[in-house]
Amino acid sequence: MAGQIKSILEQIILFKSLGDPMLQKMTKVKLLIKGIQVDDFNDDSPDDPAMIAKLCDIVDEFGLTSGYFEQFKQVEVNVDG
Amino acid sequence: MAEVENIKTAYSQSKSVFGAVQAIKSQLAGFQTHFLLVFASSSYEQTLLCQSLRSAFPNAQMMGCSTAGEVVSQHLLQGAVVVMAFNQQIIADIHLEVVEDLTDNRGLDVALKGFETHFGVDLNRIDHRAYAGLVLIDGMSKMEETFIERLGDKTNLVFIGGSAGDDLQFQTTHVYAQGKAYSHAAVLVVFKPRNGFDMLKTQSFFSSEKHLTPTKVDPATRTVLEFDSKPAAQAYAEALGVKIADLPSLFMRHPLGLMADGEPFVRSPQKLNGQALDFYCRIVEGVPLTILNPLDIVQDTQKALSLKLAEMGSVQGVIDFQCILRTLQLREEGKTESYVQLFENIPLVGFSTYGEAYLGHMNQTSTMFLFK
Repeated sequence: MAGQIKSILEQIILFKSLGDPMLQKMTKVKLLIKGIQVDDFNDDSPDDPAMIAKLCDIVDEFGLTSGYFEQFKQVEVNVDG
Repeated sequence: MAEVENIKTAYSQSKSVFGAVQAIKSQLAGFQTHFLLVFASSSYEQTLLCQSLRSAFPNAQMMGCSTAGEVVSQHLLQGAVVVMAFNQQIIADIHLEVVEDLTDNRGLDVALKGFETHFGVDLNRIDHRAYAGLVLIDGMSKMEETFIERLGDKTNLVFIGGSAGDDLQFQTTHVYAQGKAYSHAAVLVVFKPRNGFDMLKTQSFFSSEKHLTPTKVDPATRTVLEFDSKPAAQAYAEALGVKIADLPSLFMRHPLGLMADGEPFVRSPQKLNGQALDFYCRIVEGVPLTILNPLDIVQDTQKALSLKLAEMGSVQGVIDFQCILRTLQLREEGKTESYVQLFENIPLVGFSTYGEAYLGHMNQTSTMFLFK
């Protein structure tokens, strides 16, 4: 499958910024400083499990709570065994 | 009728703590100091300085740090104490927290809880247009990236500031809070400027077309072992078209930029480490960096400042967190006077930092806080 990373990033930015355009821009910079180049990911980007796991860690670091993110954390747990 | 001053600066170059504090107290006589921001040379006995300032201004919130040089209206100094005093007409509300041990993550959590209790609002939901934060952090800790990143994780408030210095001794730096001096610590304030504010980040570089991608790094030591799978020094020298031995003389003129929407977050090389390169800032593996070319600091800062001042209309005071590497370059080029003249008629305070803070930790930058 493809495109999940882009979707997760969109949700992280939305939840972290609460829809505020200035905070959206700042959140993208915060992600870049963590090594995530948001604009590098599109609908065709492969669903790299390592990157999805990294994004799940960032979700936790940002303290974001949403059912949307839980599905990916569940996958992460299953992958880890 | 004369306009009322809500922000005042004062300074002293007295070698003694007593003399310096008396001079500053005298210059601020009659002013109702609500918040006192202090930047001082590491040549002063730090604990005594903080205690003396506390005694002189017992009712003020006090925050500050040791420096690698001080900035105050019309002066770029060394071996001095500079302060900016704010009254309640400019700062409606303020709260200060100290994180006494940078290695303990719980310290920041407790500090942030302290802000939330004081202001009665979740820091992720606080109005970032009405409130802002200042952060001063131990400049020898190598903890700035982690700390400032966590600060950004936990809050949507923007913190601006810098890393404390020690007059280029690179031994021990201090941050000050409420009459005490701390090492391996950070001090934070969150405040609500009554008339509004803005921030400026300016670095006086432009992007080249050359890029280097770190492919092997040691984040803990801020070392890049490889760029583009080649020894870091070799790849950097090839990109600049010079010999490896010539690199150190070019570090200040051609640092690297982590590019965000075309704007660099500067990462400055510190020294050759065999075939590797040590930086003044942690480098993240896999994210391309752009080689930067220099602009004239005075001209470029004037341009950035003029635009910001035009946007804001009027400014009552500026805090300038300026990288020591910029200060050294200004001194070398004999442009220190021209630099401080850029802030003519605006109360100015600041210091030469061991790193600047704005969303992350960076080098060779001025981060400024402007009070409307």
